[in-house]
This record gives sequence, structure tokens and C-alpha cells, in this order.
Amino acid sequence: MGKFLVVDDSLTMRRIVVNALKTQGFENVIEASDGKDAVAKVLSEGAQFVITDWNMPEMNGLELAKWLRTNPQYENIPILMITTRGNKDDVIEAMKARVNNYIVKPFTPQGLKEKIDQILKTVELKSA
Amino acid sequence: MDNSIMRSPQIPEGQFPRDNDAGSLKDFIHLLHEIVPLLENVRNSIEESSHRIPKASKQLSKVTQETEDATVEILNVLEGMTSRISGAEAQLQRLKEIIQGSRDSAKKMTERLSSGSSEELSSTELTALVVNECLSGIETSDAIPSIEDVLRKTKEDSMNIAMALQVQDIASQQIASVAHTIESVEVQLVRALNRFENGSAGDIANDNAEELAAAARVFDVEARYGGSEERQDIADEIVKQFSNNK
Repeated sequence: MGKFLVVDDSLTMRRIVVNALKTQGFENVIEASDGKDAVAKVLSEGAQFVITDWNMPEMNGLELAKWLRTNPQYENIPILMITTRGNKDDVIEAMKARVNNYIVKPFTPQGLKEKIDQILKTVELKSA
Repeated sequence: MDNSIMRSPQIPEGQFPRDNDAGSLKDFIHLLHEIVPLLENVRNSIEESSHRIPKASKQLSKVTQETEDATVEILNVLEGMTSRISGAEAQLQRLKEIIQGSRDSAKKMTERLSSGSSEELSSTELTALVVNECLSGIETSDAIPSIEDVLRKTKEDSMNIAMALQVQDIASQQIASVAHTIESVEVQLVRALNRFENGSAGDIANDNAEELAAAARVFDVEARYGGSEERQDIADEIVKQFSNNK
């Protein structure tokens, strides 16, 4: 698997997600503190998988997802949203913005692995 | 006798009889005397509250920062623990390989002994044979599996503690939501003060309102630590529906 980009304005959450990824063998991980920072990192360093929070300053996770999907170079990049927002309407809004999967905080390492595996399986099937 | 002289004079609506004018004015002035200090008190209270609110908001922000700092410290300790446990697991694995290697050698030597060529074994080889027999005892005991189990469980526990620290992010969103409410009250108080002093809400209050709207992007008003399983089930169902419709 290529490079993961973890986007969250909470340093605590970034550390937790990065550690969970590394425990599962995903060593290549970079971080961004909000959507705007994430766009800069995608453009300068590239990423093959984006894990993003929703509520963030400057540019939120939903806006980041929309930016990625409207940019031909990144329109197929897998996006996993990890957020405290667990209302039905929120999930529908995120899915309409074409995120690949959705995790409600607090998450478990097993839950994270399950969602990543599901996304990677779908991406593999599409590219096969 | 002219009846019209005996009738009460017609008083236009909204006007007091002239005889009562002086008394009413007196009452009105008396009322003003009472109201003005009251309004002054209200104005002072609003002013005082509007000065206290930024301080309260700053204190909440400090609480968030300090809990984040403490959480990062805990995460550092946990990461150090996990790393040391991984190191111990690797060493234990190495030990198991050494024991296995020694046992393989012992097995070969035992075969040579049983084939009647024991005289060919040197004293060093015989010593090694005895040591290896001891090692086989270690290997067949439950000491190593027990240590492995303890290390695995400790690693899982440290991971679970790290995951539970997500509460810091969720609590900080709840605190941000409270701070936002307090700051919204401040905006209203500033508006009230401006109205008292200038007769209009003023630009400062409008600027603050814009800042508040921007700040509201950072947190989820409904952020909570418990009940994520049910909400995750709902999210999974929606994700499934969208995936099936593709």
C-alpha cells in the first residue's frame, strides 16, 4: 500500500490514527492539520489514501473530499472519513461528497482495519 | 337651566385633564429618577459580564490545550511501552529460535549416541548435550508461552488506553461548543451595550458574530464519547446503500 495522509486538527487524534495504522503495518503515513494543509501535502508529497476528520478550521473534511473528487488527478483516491458526526444526514452528505467509507469516533483499531480493507478491496476490484 | 353646563367636559383620548397635568409630570419625573439608576446598574452589569466572558472563554481554551498536552504525554509513554514490548517480543522469538536450534543439535547428538558412537563425542559436545536437554525442558514448559501471553495482553491494553484517549478530542469539541455559546452571549451583550451608548449594535458586534460563525466550523455540537456503536451501525447501513446504488 502507498502513502496514507491523516487529516485532523486534533494532534491527539492524528497520533492515535497514525499509531493504529502503523500497528497494522501501514508505515508510510504523513499528516495534515486541516483541509487546506492536506491539499498542500497532496500536491507536494502525494498520497494514495486519505483519512480525514470532518470539523476542521480553514477547510473541513467535506470540502477536502469535494476538492479531491473535482480534481481529475485525485478523483479516485480512497477517502475514509473519521468523525464525531454520526447523524444520518451527516453520513448521507459525506457519501454524496463521494467519500468511500465512514467511521464514527471513537473508533477501534479493528474497525479502522475493517474499513481500510473494505475500501482497498473495492479499489482492487475496480482496477482489476 | 342649560344642561350642557352641568355635563362633564369632553376629554380628547390620550390627554389628561389639565388639573392633573402637573401631578402626572411629577410622577413621570419620579419614575425617571428610579429608572435611570436601574438602567445604569443594568449597563454596568452587562459591561462587567462582557469583560468576564472573554476570560472564561480563554480559561476553557487553556483547559483544552492542557488536556491535549497531557494526552500527548500519555501517548508518548504508551508508544514507548509498546515499542519496548515489541522489542521484548522480538528477543523472545530469538530465544525460541536459539532453543530450537540447540534442540536440533541435541537430537543429532542423541542419534549419534544411540548409534553407539558415543566415544566419538568430545567433552564439549557432551556438555552441550546436557545443556540442550535443559533447554528442551524450558521449551516444553509453559514459561515462554506465558511470557508471550503477558506481552501480547500488555500490548493490547496499551493500545486500548491509547484508543480511549480519543475522549480528549471529543471533550475538546464539547468544550469548544460551550465556549461558543458563552461567546455568543458576549456578542449579544456587546450589542446591548452599544445600543445603550450609541443607539445601534455597532460593527464590533458584527465582526464578533462573523468570527463566531467561523469558529463553529471547528467542532461538532453533538460530539459524544458513548454510543458510537449504534451510530456506526447506522453509518454502515447508509454506506452499504450508497455502494449498492453505484
